Amino acid sequence: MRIMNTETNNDMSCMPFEEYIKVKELAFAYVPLQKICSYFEPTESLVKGTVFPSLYKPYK
Amino acid sequence: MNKEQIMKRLAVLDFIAVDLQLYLDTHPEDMEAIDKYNSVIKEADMLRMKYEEIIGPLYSFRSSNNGDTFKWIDDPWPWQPSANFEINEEEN
Repeated sequence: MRIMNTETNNDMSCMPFEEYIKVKELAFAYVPLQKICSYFEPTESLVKGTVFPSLYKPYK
Repeated sequence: MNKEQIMKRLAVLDFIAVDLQLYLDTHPEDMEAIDKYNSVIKEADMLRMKYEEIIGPLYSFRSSNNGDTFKWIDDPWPWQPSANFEINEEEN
């Protein structure tokens, strides 16, 4: 199963999560470990409520 | 740096430190995050010392430079405007 890497990070050196999830066993749930690749600016993070861009989901 | 700027910067740094700590709970070996966490904490500590030298105690139970007066009582009450600040979107 291939997951779309939705986070657009320019340097490809940092992959937020695994591209391929090896299906280990039927009916097993699996949560890919996510690595942080980019951070918000200091004041921007306080205004937005998180330092991690991937967690920022405003209802607009 | 005036009082409001220091207070604002401290609030921002403490916020980031907590956010990074939560991330590090599950990613203890992420070196990049550890470096960022250490630098944020170092800057916040320096700012706290500077604030307490210039303005006054930040904590009622942790500040030392009282001399013979109890400086904590001179601070504004938490709800007073002078004890608070605005954070607006575009300003960084």
